[in-house]
Amino acid sequence: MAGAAVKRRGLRSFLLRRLWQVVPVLFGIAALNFLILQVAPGDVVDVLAGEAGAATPEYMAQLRAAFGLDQPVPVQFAHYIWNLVTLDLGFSFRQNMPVLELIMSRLPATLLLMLAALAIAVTLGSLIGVVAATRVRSWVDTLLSGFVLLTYAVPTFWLGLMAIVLFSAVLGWLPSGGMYTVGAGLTGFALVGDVLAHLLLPALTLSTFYLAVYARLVRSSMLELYGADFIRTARAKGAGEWRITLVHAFRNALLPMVTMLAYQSASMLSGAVLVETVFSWPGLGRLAFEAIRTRDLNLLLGILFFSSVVVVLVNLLVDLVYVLIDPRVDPTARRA
Amino acid sequence: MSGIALTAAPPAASDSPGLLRRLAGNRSAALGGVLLALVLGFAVVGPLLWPGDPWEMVAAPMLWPGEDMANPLGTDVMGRDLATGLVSGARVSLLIGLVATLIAATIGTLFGALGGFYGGRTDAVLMRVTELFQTVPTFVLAVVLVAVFRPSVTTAVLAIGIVSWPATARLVRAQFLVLRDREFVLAAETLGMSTPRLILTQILPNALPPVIAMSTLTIAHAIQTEAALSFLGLGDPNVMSWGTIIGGGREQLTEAWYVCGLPGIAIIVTVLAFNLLGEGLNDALNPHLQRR
Amino acid sequence: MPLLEIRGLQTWFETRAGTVKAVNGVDLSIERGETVALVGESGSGKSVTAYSVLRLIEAAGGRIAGGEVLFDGTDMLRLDLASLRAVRGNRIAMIFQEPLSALNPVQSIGTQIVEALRLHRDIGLRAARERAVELLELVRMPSPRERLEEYPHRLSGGMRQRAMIAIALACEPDLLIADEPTTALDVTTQAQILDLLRELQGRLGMAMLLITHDLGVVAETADRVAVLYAGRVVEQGPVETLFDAPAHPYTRGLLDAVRIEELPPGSRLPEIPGMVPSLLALPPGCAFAPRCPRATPACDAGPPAMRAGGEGRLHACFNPWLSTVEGRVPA
Repeated sequence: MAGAAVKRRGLRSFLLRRLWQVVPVLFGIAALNFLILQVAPGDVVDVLAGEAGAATPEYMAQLRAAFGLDQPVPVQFAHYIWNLVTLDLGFSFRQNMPVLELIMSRLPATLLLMLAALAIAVTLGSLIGVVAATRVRSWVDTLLSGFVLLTYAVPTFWLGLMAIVLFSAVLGWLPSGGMYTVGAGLTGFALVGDVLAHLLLPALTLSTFYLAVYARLVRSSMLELYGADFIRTARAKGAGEWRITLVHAFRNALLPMVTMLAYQSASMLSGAVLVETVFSWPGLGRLAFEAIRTRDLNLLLGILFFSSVVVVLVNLLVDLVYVLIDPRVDPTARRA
Repeated sequence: MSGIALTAAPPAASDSPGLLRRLAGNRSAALGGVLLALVLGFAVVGPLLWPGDPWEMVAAPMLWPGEDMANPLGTDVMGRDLATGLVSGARVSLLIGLVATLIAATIGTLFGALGGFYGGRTDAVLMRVTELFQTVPTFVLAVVLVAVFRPSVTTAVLAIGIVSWPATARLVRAQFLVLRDREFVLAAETLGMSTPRLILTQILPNALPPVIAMSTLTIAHAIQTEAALSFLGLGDPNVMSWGTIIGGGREQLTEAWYVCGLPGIAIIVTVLAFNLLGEGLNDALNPHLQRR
Repeated sequence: MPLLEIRGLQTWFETRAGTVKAVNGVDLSIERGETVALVGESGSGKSVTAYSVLRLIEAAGGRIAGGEVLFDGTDMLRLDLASLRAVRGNRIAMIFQEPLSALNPVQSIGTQIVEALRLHRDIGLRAARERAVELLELVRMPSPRERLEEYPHRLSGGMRQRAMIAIALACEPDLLIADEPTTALDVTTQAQILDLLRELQGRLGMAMLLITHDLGVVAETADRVAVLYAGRVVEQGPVETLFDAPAHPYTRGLLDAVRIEELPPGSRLPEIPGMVPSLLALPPGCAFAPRCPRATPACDAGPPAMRAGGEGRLHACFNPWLSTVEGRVPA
């Protein structure tokens, strides 16, 4: 019991320390954004106002003054950082809304999509990986290798399009886009069911690549773990093969999978942009697509900054989960 | 002056005998090579078979593949020949993939080499930058770069190059950390070889083989990124690429799905070719550092 | 009827180079409450023999090619998987050389003891945890109740092995197989663990098969000893008489350099000139003949059979050292 209390206390300091480590990363991302603004053709305000004269001249003038374009670059940078710190990501004239508000209104849809895709990838990936590991060199195993190879090559957006052709156009099983049936006025469980039906195809499309990666990872970790001494101990105790596979081997195979998850949060967000575009899923990705179409560059930069922040936070969360599921990690120890 | 006698000769992995034979013996490398030859052949011979401007409307719109042998792969929504478009796409994909990878490999090698060689503060700063680029969703960054600097082949190449280097940097750094303390490097250093020369003539050649293997995988990813950018409408407006065709075919997806389908298959085959080749190269060139 | 009787056990590994006959006709028996030590150089097949008893060898890539393993009259090799599992950890338990890797890193000690209990006993979680505390007390784990929540990596080597022993004793087995239980521990801890094993064995009345290459451990712990060479028992008998007057030249070679009374715990087997024969291609005759100072042409003709040497002694040798034993006449 004493160990648990120590761990809990360690966890708090671990979290604080990791939060502190986030600051320079956020600063770096902001600097990157600012660098893009500086190198961009035209002056900063041209870019920020969304070019093509979407903003009024008065607003542009106001923006120029606020940004301090007559001042040296470091002062401009300070202005920029201050804006970000106060969560002022600017205004989108195309959408007639503050950028932060726009992003916040789209964030839940993206998180829902990513979580669903992750759940599918982890569950199915584990299942396939475990089955392939228990039947090494069988047809399941060969099929998995081929599947992994293929998913590495198939573009996500193309997979989504083909899924629409098959599952909505030809078979008519699932809706081809959007988040819910427009104008149906559904509530309660009916609405939940409707959203789930709309979620299924995009989530499956986004999950495919990760599913393959996890399946391969789980397979190789399981094979390694089957040779572990503690598996032999479990067998000597009289545990059955299922118990050995799930309670002993798979529980340990989860650890590398969680590590992998952290590596992939950024890539999954990138994937979400494409999948949302294909399925008209009203999330950050779809917003980015709209921003591209209208050349709303400030909105795009806002999305870049914000999605990077999301990745940083997800990584933080994954670290935390890792500490919780691997007792060997000492949260009070500094990371190398 | 290359006659500096080194007691411990650097092991040159790249010219170890039988590399080609080893590659041919590797099933994935062989299959990758065959697929790549197909794609290359298509890109080179294609313009002779289907000459002309891929943007030109040559026939009735939405002709299915095989419907009219004048347009063997059919036509798109605007009546443009798909075969001509696919050939153009192959050339664009290969070009952008190769040049972007060259950029990525250069930046990555530079960062990794400097960090790995000098260590200390230089390394810490360079690794921070590398980490930063691994945190930012790379595709979103590429989208922003292309959008801000206006879509063209040049911006696509630059953007993809700029987002693709961190993995190479890490690999080169790891290689340099190991090679830095090898006898032949110390020997060269003792003999008074200058640092740039030391890096370029002693360490780099030995660090390169795995970089080549990784770059093959980077090409595959660059081709996918290019396709995705064009699909979103961020391709060069004057160049017909596979992603452009898919993006344009979306409107009539259900009526003429082959317009999106065919370029997708072309992407899959090309990416598969580079992935298989890269994996094979990795096994052949990189026996020590396999998949860390 | 002995508690465990191994007859003609053969355990083979198929490798690319051919069939490795790691255990090639082992005969061994253990009475209830008795401690038998199995000694031999590494690669002699002692651990493989031990794993074969519980049929753990199959998961390690081996195959039991022949023989019988009679436990309480039932042939373990013919049991179906369910009945086999009912014996494992219940009537026959096992502890291993490296306790850190033998314990599941992500489960607490308590969970791992409780699992051993609940696999074989119809016992509630709460009762099982209470029993786990008792077991940790039994193996003299300091502050046992707190240790339930502890994970293996937070314990010392000795405490880990105590936890392993607690797991093994959970269902009060009739036979405990200890595979080099002290090899990975420091000298002081080795002595403590051996004392503990000896004490528990007496107290619980269980039999013990002790695998070791440490002659000191054998002398201090075992009632009888079986010497293994190239997958076969070459000599066995009561520890005292066997160590006093080894009959087999191999056993003698092992003991020659070290006088048994002076053996401190931790002594390794002394070197014998020559190489252990390849298990891929065993000589047709006695496997020790190429290294044997007493070998004759007859030794290469066929394998020597096990012969009784009196006083419970058995040896497999054509030219045993029987004449050197005072007052003993060759049988």
